[in-house]
Amino acid sequence: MNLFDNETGHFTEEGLDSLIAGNLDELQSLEAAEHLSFCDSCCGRYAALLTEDVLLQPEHPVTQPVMQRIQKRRNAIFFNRGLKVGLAACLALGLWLTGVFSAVSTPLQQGNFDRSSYLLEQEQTRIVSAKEEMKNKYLADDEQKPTTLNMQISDAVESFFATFTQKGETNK
Amino acid sequence: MRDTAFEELVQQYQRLVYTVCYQMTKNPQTAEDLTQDTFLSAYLHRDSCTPETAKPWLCRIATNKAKDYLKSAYNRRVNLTDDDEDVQYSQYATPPPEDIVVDTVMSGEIADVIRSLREPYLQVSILYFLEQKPVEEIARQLGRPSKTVHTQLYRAKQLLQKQLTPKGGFS
Repeated sequence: MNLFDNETGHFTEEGLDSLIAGNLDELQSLEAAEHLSFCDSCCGRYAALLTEDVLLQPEHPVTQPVMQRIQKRRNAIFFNRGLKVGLAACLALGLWLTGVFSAVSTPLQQGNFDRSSYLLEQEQTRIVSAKEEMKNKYLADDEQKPTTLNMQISDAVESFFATFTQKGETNK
Repeated sequence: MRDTAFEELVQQYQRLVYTVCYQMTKNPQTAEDLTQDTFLSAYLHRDSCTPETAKPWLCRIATNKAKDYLKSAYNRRVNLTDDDEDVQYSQYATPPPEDIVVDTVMSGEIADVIRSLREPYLQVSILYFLEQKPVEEIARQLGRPSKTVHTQLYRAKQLLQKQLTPKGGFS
């Protein structure tokens, strides 16, 4: 009996029939299980052959032990998670009680806070004084500028007219 | 899938899963254990199951469980037997079968022995021993997992050793 087709590598019909009838030896059963574990088409063919008339009844009920094992597995997962959370909390509490957190965080925070406030205050003072200085300088410039500018403009206009008049006379 | 729905699934398909496991192992107690293992695995991966595909899906899981069981049982038995009587030569006195095959690959007789192997060892042996293809390529070409190809090649070597030893005088 050929369990598999040498050309295609899939189950032969008689191979599947032998599997259903339980006529395979140990190695053939292993080969069949290996093939069914990756071959979708043969798995579908095999499942289609497992009709009501060939199904066997287990000696002991299956549902209750399965659900108990599922519950047990779920409890174990819950217990493991709880254990991890508890250990983490104990570790954090231990570090807190021994003063590790305060030793690390307090001086740094206090020092940083004082230094930052001082620098900020210095910067604000510097900005205010710079503003005052600029304002004063601007006002001083503003008072002088109109006179100087007017004078420059009038000088420029006068020289322009003088040049223009000189040119006209020369042409005449 | 809720627990009640899964419980209904177990009740509906317990005979199917038990039958698959029994047909593979031929032992009622082992089949019951594997049935429970199958449903436990199915519960852990229940989100990938739809009602339409539940039957082949459970068949696949059950055959996987049976495969793992049969593999370990077969390996235990074969390793014990190999030590005792089946293999007539010492492991250290003769080269491994792939070397034997490579050395004598020109011989038509050896090629005939390889071609006389049955599936699932025939195609992997031809591709590996005669066409010298790597395992990954063989797996891709035949649509089989690499691990399965390795296992099949391992068993093919054992079969070849048994067939070649009395003929070729390699012992």
